[in-house]
Amino acid sequence: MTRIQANAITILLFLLTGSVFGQKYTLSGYLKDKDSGEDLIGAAVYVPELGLGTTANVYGFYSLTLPEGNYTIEFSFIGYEKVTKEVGLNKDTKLNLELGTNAEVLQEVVVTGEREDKNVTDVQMSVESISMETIQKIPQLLGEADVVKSIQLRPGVTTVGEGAAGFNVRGGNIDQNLILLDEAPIFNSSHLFGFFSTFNPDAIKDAQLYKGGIPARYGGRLSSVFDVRQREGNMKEFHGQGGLGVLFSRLTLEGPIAKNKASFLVSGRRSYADLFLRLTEDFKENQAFFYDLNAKINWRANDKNRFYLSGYFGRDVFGFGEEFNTYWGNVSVSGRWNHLFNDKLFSNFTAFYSNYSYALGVPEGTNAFEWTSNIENYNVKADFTYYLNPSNTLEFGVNGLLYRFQPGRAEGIGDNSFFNVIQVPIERAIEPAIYVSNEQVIGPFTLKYGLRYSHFFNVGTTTVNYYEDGIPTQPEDIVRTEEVGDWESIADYGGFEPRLAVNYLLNERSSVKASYMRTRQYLHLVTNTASATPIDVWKPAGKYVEPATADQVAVGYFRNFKNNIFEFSAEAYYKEMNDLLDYKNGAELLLNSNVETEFLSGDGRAYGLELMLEKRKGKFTGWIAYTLSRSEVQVEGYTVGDYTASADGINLGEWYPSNWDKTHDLTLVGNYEINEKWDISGTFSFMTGRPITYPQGRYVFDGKIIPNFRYRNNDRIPAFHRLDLSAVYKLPNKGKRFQSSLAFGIYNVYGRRNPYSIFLRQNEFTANQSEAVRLSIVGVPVPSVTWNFKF
Amino acid sequence: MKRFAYLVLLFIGLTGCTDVIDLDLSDTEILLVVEGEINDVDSVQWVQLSYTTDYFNNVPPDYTVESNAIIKLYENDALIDSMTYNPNTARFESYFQGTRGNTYSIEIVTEDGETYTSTKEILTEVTPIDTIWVAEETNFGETEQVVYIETAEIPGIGNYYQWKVYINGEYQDEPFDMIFAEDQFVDGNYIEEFDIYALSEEDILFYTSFSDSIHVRIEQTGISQNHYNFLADVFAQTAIAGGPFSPPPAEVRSNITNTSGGERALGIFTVVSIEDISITFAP
Repeated sequence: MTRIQANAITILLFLLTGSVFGQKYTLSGYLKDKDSGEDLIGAAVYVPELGLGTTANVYGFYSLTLPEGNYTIEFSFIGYEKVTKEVGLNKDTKLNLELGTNAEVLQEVVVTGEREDKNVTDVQMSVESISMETIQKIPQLLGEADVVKSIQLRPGVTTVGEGAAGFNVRGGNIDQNLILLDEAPIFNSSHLFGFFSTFNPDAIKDAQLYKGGIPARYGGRLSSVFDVRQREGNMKEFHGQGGLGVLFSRLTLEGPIAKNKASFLVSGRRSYADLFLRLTEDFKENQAFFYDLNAKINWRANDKNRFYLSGYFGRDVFGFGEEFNTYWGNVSVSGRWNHLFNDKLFSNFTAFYSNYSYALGVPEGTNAFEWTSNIENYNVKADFTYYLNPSNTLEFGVNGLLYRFQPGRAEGIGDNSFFNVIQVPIERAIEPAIYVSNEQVIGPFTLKYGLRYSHFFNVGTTTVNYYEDGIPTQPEDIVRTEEVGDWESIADYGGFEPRLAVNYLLNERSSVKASYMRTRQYLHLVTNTASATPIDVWKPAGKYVEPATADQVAVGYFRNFKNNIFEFSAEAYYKEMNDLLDYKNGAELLLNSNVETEFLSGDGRAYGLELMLEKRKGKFTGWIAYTLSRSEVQVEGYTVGDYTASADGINLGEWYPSNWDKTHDLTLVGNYEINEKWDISGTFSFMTGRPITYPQGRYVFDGKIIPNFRYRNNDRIPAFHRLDLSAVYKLPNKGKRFQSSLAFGIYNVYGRRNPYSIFLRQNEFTANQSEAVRLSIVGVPVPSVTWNFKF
Repeated sequence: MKRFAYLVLLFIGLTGCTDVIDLDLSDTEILLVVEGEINDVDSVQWVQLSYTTDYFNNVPPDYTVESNAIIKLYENDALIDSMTYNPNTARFESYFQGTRGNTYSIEIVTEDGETYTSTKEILTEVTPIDTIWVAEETNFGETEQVVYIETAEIPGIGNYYQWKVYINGEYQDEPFDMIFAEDQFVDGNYIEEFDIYALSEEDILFYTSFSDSIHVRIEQTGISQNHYNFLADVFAQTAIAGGPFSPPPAEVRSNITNTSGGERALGIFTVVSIEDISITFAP
């Protein structure tokens, strides 16, 4: 940090401190689970005498600065026994606590990683989190518990269809989600093109999705942040868990390296269908599998210093003999150091490396080739939380990112391949950012105001095309190319990102919240297919590509009923997005050294109303979520010289619905514990069919029937609805330590043929005959059984 | 790259299920459709005109509707012919052979006075196919008869090709039969063992029910960039449409422009050079 920045922060702190009444001392410490030693994210610390409190941060740390005095401090966390401590605060005090799960409560209560009334009291709105316990129970395709598919059951989150990669948040494209695993970004969160997510639920502790009012510490994507944190591993004793499912076999091992000091967690999954298939003659030559491995080491050196090292390795591999093969996957390694400068100043330093790589090729023959592509990402960042006083919590930090994009290199392989080497120019970029924000309580108001500044430099070494009219019209208009030297800036963009949030507590049980955020995104996923493919390339902002920006305002009403058993929320949002990428008709996006000539620029807007009623306690838990929304884009064409791109723009330059615009989206999720042995769950989803493009007639050319597509997304496919059910049976546990259960599930219970798309083709056998074809991804009920164990 | 996109699509196809449904598409735009070819082999060159129809209008296009149109043919910007409507073929015809290196374009005036012009297309060079052979192979667990060719690619990027396959004299015109390429990845190379076409077990059974041997003729045609783009668009909108990773539905690009201010036209006026080779084999 420079001197000027340090001074600015000092002044800011001084202003915030305000008047001081008597001597103040700080009570701080870590809150942990008694059995496993895991940090309790979001556990509550409350001081009844003063009617104020705080919550533990993502590392389980809390800090409260109070006037000298005697207090009864309550530590609570849903599903845990409340602990009350008498504290005579006459000096700065450290109080680390372990909370035990409430055995009786646990029978009835779903353990969630949240404070009971956080929904109402927290200034943060537009945030979705589902406890891992709930995620494990939600019925999914082939019985594979899935963090990403589960979050799609919350309001405001959709996908273009079953099995599609990624998810859309409040009308944003899938590349507008920042997906973090232990603070390292994951560029593709899908296995098998999108059917399953790359997060192994056994290794995950907590997942939160910010749909709006994103805190200033996050940046880089327009629409959301999906912050996923891995478990640390049991600090007290060795444990394992795993399962055998239809698709994956899973195993997780965890335990102390040094009791209460250091722990490890290793968790792996592998699909194993191919192991059996390979025994058959037809499949002998083929490969189709995917795996992921999560590993983490956690060392609490002392009260002031804690270290985490986490790694993630995932891959999908498909091969069809000599014909074709492809793989893709993420590797990410992150190291973190939590340091307490003092009782009030918590810091976290992170360094990570991530590499998303993919390849495609034909392994043998004269047309053998291999195409490889990857994105590497290096990051160092420092995040600080200053617990100034119970009314002010300050967050600030710096972040530096380095990207290296290899959009594609293809070359013939073997001695007699007839392919040349094609190298799409490598791009590098640096993205520094700095932020500061403060959460301030003023009577019934809680304010969170922050400012983030980010900048983006697209730098050499690379080759830049120059076009006749200064605009990337078509490859024929390239007048010269220029080599740009190492680290030399080609283009740079930067800007402020204000973030604001307000919570007005109407009473103990209800509040009104509002937020505004501006977000900037310097990377675009270059994709124009219905579902993004794992081999799509990312394009950084540069000479011809502007960064995208978005502004979102949201207001909400939050109300809890019956002692926090029921939570209700209603949120409305409006979002404007600028400089989104779109594509000319017939765009060739892969292995294209002049890919900028295929781009058009467009704007987006999205607005909606999200209603949610959730029952969080009792034998029956679940929620009803309803979203009414619209997501639209507008793309204009351009003419320079005698070149015209998309003459009148797409759909005559009018606003039209985006691929993931779904007017109505209703989700019901329920779980019922019948008795100690049986537990049943169900999910029902209904949503408006996604927009689709139908032709305005047909013509025949060279014997082929060709549809005449004039207007994009001019119709909709029929509505989507589906019911999934599951039941868990806990097997009698003879030895107390080893416990196992069987999970039965049926996905798409009534076998609805939900169309993924409806497309048109000529009949194979009858000349001149056209037909409409419905493609369903999962058109039949899919049963599954999974055996899970724990020891 | 198209064929690899197709393979990915094929894989997805295994997990999904498809069925034919009824769909009501009544919103039809009526546009002129141009189809025409000038080549350096045939003695008759032709252009056909028709109009778009309802998508589910399952009858062949009416090529007689614009029989009174005027089509002027230009070679190297000079008017060389006003094409003659032949009622027997329902085509506008011109009796000459195209010359490699020359450019051709047409101007159409329809009966109600709309004027359309094509871009100027060059009749490019194309190399001959040096060798053809057939080999039996097993791919994806199926035994196929694979037709291979060898040919030289012309040095210098910017050559585009289409291959047309004739089996026992019958042109293979299904969307999946489209074979076309650009030279970006293979510029100037000698193309060895190029597997151009495969006959499935089913195909073999069908053809051998008539005769023991099968005659395969491959046309290697040199095409323009506009023509290549057109084929790529047609392939995207027909053969590989509808899947999760398919290109988005979009208008197929045309090289015909309405110059009288009316509605645009569809289709393409093509100019191609042709070389061919044949083989007769008994599987």
